[in-house]
Amino acid sequence: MFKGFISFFGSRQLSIGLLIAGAIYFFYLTILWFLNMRPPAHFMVWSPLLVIITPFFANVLISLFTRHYAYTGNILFHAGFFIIAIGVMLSLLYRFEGTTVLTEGAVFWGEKNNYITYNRKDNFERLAPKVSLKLDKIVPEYWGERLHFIRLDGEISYPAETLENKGVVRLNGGLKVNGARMRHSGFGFAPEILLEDVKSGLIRRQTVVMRLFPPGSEDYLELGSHKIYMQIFSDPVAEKGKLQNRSMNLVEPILRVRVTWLGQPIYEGVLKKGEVIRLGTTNMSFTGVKYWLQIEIERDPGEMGVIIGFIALLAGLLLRLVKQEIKQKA
Amino acid sequence: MNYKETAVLYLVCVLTFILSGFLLFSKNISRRLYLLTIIAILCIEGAYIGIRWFDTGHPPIFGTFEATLCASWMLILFSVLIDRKAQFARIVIPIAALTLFYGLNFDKTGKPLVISEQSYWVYFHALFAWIAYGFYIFSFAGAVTILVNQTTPTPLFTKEGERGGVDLFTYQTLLWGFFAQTIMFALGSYYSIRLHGSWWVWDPVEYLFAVSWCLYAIPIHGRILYGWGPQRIAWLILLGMVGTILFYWGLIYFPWATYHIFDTELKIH
Repeated sequence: MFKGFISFFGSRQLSIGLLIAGAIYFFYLTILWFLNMRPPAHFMVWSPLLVIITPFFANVLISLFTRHYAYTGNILFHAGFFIIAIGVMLSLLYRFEGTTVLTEGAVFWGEKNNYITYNRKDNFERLAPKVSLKLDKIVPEYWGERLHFIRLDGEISYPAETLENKGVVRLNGGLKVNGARMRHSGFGFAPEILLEDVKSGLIRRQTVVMRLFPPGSEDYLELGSHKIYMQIFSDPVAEKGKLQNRSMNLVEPILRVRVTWLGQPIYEGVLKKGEVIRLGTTNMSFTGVKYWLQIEIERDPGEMGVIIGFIALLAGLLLRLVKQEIKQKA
Repeated sequence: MNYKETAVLYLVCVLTFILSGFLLFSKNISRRLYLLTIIAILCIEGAYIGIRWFDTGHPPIFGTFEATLCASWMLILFSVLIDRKAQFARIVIPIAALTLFYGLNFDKTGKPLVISEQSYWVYFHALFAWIAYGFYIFSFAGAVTILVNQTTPTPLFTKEGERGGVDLFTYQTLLWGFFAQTIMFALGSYYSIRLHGSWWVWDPVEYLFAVSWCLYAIPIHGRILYGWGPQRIAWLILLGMVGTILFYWGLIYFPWATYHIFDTELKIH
């Protein structure tokens, strides 16, 4: 029985069969994509994958021990899959992913409450990287007037305690601090709102992270029974009595505001910097607009494993190719 | 693109088109003339790529036009490097010409790279994609030669193009293509973790990579494990190539967006 198991799972027929099954599986995923099933249901992806990948690893493992692979290059290439698998397992078990949203000038201390989401709820202290930073400036650049970013840098100083190091957070990562990789995944405008309670005289200043980018997008905030819908005109110009944007850069921005109270529209107009509108017993004014950046902070102990696995795959292939060439020349 | 650059581009197209015509319809084309012409095309197209690179500030990897430019140039470069005797020129040069002509249908405006593409990892990822494409096209040409010679009594090409030599050449180019494709995947996967935070993104381009990787691995394993003959290997290479070309170049016509940017006019990243 055991011998039969070994001979079946280590067989050459299974090797070829699994490659055909692999090609069919990924073709099936392509078809699902063409049918606009994006992403397809979990069972549609993982069940067939498990059916293929389990015998694949069994086949490779048995072939490694039964010396089906005659050349060092072949052994190295196929062993590379196991190293990658170990790296992926480590990632699944110990990878930390956290998201924070910062406006210009804001400080991130790396505490639980500084993250808006993170994946390791139970092991936060153990797995979260020790990262703190101050987001000094956000620099967006566009290709002409199009929504085509050619630069979006988050200039930071770290650690937040001393601010002695400078760095740049970009979309495609690069910056690593204490083993944590940082990249940004969201960007937008954050209007600064000043609220003054007319009765008590209490004043509250709030920078509100909203989805108001690109200019013209509308988002709202709630203030008691009031819903305040906003649109930003970042670089406004009036053309034939209609507000337009010259560019997406912040040049004397204004807000178009629409307020409802219990669902009934009560105000609609344009709010310039310093202008006040009265909402019940509250005066609301707008003092400026900042940029915000959503930053992903990740620490992945499996990353090195996957990289070593890839190197093993490539080294194995190269060794096999070079040896074959030498053999043929001889 | 100014008129000088347009003139250079169309000169490349005309030269490739004329050479393809000669190769397809003339029985005897001198090797010297062939070599001189492909070297001329290589230099002129290379100069055009260089000018475009200088103008846009990035290597030509953005959009279908730039992709076809690189792909066709890579085929011409491979022809100069590994096919000086024009054994496979009747297949490879027309494919280079078709690739180039296909690209002319797309927007040729030089655009700056979007921030997700601004990385040396992407540049090398694209470079190895085109190297793999070059090897696979030669492997495809070898496969066609094997299959045509099977039914044609007289060799279609030269003496060096006899079965044994072509068989070996086809297999070797398949292996080198597989190697380049694996490097391309490793680079892309590493870049994916920097960009998306995951090694693998459920995206059609990655599915199609995996399909073609598995398809090309089948003849490699078949030859090593079972000693499959040249015909069977050739059919499998043909299948792999047809699938790769149709799906890779045809992907942009499907309505859903992919994380990979092919053509900004048709697909939104």
